[in-house]
Amino acid sequence: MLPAEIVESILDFLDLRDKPTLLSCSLVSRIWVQSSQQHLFRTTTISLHRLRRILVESPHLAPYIRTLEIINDGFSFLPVTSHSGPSPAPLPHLNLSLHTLSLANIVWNQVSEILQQLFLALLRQPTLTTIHLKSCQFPPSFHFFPAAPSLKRLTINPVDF
Amino acid sequence: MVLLVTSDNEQFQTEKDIVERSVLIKNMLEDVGESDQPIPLPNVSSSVLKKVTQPSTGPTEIDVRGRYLSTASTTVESPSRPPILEQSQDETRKRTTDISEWDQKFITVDQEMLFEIILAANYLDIKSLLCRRWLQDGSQHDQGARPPEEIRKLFNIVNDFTPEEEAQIKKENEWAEDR
Repeated sequence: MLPAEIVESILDFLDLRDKPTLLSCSLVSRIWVQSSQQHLFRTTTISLHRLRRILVESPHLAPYIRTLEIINDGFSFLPVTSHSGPSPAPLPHLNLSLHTLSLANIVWNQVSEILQQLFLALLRQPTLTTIHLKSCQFPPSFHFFPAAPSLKRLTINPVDF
Repeated sequence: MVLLVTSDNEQFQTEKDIVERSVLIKNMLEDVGESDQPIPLPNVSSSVLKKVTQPSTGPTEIDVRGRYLSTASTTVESPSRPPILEQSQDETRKRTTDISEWDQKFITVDQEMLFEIILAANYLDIKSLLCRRWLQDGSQHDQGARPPEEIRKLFNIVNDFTPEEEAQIKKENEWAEDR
């Protein structure tokens, strides 16, 4: 059987955009799944709603995410808590290696409170140095630099405050 | 020319530009400078060295015996995937051209040799041999991914997932495809 480090070496030569090959490799065996998912989730495009599900249901994936693009799937605007449904599972301690966060088409005041908390937790990650905002709306009182203590680069394209 | 000595004590006179595909050997040559001293490769057998230093027009690439009957012709035989019968002439031409250009660079090996080559490529640090070709399905003209069961067969891997684990990974992978 090939040692894990050699599997890792072979996967290192894959183009990270070659998701079909990485998806296939992840289903080969336990040795292969970790290396494959590290590559698969390195750059992740997802809604806040689904990101929360990943962090709650599969927290082992969290450290793999280096670049995160948050998109608006509509669900993030719905309140997660409801009077009739069960309370959402608490967010575990975040163990991310996130360095770049991009947001597109997010209207802060319409994001449910629980997902706002998730977003603020992402900003607090000590590894996060770059944020890109595109077509987002934040209240004037929202200040990214105090909220993201390691932030070095913030790009804005067009954002309403 | 560079003199290499393999683990079974065989000596190889090899052109410098070929052995310098190996980052390990390239670094060794830079360290010792011009010298007639042989370079020992205690982790590489002569049969493997012959494969990994085989001169070719491009990087030496290898496929596993049985997947293709590789010749200089444009015929490709895939045991598991019969040729696509309903193709336009253009599609057929594109497919055969792609494959023949690519196929001529191949040599065929059995599974034991495949393992030895990969281990040697890792030791010698030959990036072109640790390429994604192992994971791609060359029977398709666009060289899509090999299915997991084929990768297992290729590398003699046992599926050690429980059905629940496999279902969980598939669910997680859907998140990776999310847009």
